[in-house]
Amino acid sequence: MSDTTDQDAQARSDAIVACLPRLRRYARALAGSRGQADDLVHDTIARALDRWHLWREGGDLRAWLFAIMHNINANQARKKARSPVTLDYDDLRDGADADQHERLAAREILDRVSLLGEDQRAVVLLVGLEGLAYEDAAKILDVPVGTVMSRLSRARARLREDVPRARLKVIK
Amino acid sequence: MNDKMEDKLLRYVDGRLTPAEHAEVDAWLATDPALAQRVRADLADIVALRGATAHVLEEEIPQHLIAAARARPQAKRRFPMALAASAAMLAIGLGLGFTLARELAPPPLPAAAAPADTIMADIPPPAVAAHRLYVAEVRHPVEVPASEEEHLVNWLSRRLGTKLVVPRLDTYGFTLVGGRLLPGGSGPAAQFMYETHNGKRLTLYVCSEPEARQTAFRFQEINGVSMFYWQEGKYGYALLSETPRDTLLPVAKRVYATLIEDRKD
Repeated sequence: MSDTTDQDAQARSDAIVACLPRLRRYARALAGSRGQADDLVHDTIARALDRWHLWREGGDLRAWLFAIMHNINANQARKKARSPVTLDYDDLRDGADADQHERLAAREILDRVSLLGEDQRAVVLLVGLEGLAYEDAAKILDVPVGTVMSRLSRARARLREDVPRARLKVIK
Repeated sequence: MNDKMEDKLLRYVDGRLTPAEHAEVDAWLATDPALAQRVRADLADIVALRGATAHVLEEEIPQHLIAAARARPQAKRRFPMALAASAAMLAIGLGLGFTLARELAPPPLPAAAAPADTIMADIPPPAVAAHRLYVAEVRHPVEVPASEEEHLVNWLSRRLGTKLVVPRLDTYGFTLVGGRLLPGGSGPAAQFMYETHNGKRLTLYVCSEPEARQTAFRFQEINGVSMFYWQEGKYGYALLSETPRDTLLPVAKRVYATLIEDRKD
């Protein structure tokens, strides 16, 4: 193995490691529990390395990794016969402390996001949470930009409508 | 509201407007309280969502994920996968409806993170226990000897509820000693024992599984015992011997191929 290859491998690993916090966050919002989310991240990394030859230098690595994760998650969701994902704040926090107000606010938004269908949830997370451009979200989800925008528009309308329902759920 | 306005409102919320467009939307919002309320709600949701998940960014990243990112792709291509691939080719060649894409799709996982073994959790422990117990047996290693092979195969086939095939492994120096019936994890299991001229033994363990599936080859070494194991349909198979993996590999390949060929009939 030549030095160049070693350096390449090192640079590649560093780049992936740098993406890990955000991959984990996206996975957590996508999958729910910490364990499932980290399994998803792990599968994503393994598949990315396995297919590294398909990676185009100079592209947005994070977007590529998100796309891989999205596909793995979609396949797994199909296998699991589409059991709905419930995002649970305590699960997401994994036992860390938070004040009461923060807790309620967090539960409330997560409840509403988990009421969305998978397609809508993905755009809300990619654009709203991750702050990706519509074009990047479109590439990740492999749909036209117009579709991303219409999904986002519907998702946000749904989120606004669901406010009372989520509040009730939090209060009960 | 028309599509153009809707588009601009989305971009406004996501901060994707030019300053001029931004000012234009601000002007709408100033004259339309309902619209302003909508935009505030959308922005509040984004802030709340980021707040609800922000702690994930601060968590310590689990070591196994960092290790996975530092793994070399070429090093991760472990041989069992290559074997699964060649077995897959064989199956395609034979025109079998074997689910290959799925087998080849999952990337090999480093051992540290391997929840992978859950998929076959039932096979290894009883197979290893049976191997250890009976290869050590000098006088009664088998219940039915190879001299009664036909009876042995019919009997075990009946008990396991499938037509068993005993692979010929003479070209690898292993001749059949015989076999026995064993209690398996979920019903009866069968063990066939082979031996080389100098007494090295090998066992093939077959058991029924509660759930039908196809898995790739997996390899495990437990205290000097090498084991290849896999599941095909409702049956799990394990091949074990106190021999290095590379020596056992061609034998495992042969066994796998024999069983596949048999399915064709």
